[in-house]
Amino acid sequence: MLSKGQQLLDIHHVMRYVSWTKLRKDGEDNVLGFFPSAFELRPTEESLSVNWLEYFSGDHQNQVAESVREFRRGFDAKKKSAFGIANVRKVKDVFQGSGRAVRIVYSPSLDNLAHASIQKLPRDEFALFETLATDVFTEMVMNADVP
Amino acid sequence: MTNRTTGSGFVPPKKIFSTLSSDISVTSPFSNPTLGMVTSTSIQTVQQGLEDQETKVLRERVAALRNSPSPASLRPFSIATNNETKTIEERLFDATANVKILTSQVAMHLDREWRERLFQQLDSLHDPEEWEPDDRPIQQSSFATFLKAICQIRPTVRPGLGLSHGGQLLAAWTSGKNRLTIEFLPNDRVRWVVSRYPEGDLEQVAGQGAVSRLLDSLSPYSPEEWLFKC
Repeated sequence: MLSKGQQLLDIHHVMRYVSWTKLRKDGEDNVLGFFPSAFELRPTEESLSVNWLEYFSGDHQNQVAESVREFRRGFDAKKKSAFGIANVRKVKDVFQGSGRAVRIVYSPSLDNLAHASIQKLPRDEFALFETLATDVFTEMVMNADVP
Repeated sequence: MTNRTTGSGFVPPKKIFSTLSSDISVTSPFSNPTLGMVTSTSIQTVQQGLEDQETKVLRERVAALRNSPSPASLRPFSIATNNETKTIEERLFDATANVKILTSQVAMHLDREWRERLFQQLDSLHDPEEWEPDDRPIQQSSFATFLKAICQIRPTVRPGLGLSHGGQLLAAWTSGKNRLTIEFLPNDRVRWVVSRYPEGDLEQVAGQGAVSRLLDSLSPYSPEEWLFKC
């Protein structure tokens, strides 16, 4: 188990909550994935909030379900929202490839014990965030599909 | 005062009516044998009705002579007054109403079904049940850029729509794993990313510039794959 402030290992996975407006859809509103805006920082944010999946025990499927429930403890996850899942190494590689090193740190809070932060993310890098959406957060779980 | 269509001086409506009335074909009630005898009062009424109808036709012709607004002349319109005192539902309603009004200015350039589906997508994007309070609703300046792109490119494939945190509109065209993503910015600017997998590995090209150059900028990357149905 990691301590607060420690970096996640490259083999670990993170999960990001994505609201309806940031889900990539087709012209009929069928969900296909994520828009780059799903991974961009808001002007007031210093780091990107994610969950550390390996905080939970069991197999990957169980970790995903537990992580979604942990998210729900902290805030109102909307019905049509989804969660994106990515490998830590792949997230780092996207930014290292363009000369930027991000840190992914375990940062639990009272209402989310699996919370982690992606720190030192650049701002206003549309193409890099599209890469995250296209090639890194390749696994998606709809909120409605998790009991 | 100068007449917009002829360049001559202003012509009063009655004068226009008399000069153009010979061009106007109207079905006369007097040609109907079932009407029988008519009184002078009813003649006046019928004449008034004829004049009203001819005036209406005339108005339509004058309107048709006016240039319809081009997408390039789109100007933001606001029905919102005081955003700070409004609920989220009211703010979302105002935002979608404003961009729908903007769309109506160029309605003649858009297919009706395309337009109706666009409105449904905008409503869906601004569903209060799904809204995150920290997000900004769609910005008119971004939507105006989107409309200009759509009127210029006229894609036959409808894009999926999304929003950035700041309310800039995002459009997505997806063909298998290949993707075209465009963000519509204020002041007729766009930024875009093409993502393809020609030999299994991701190949990505990004650009930004004026919306008027969008199709030219995309042309090396087979935009027809996303934008147009074969």
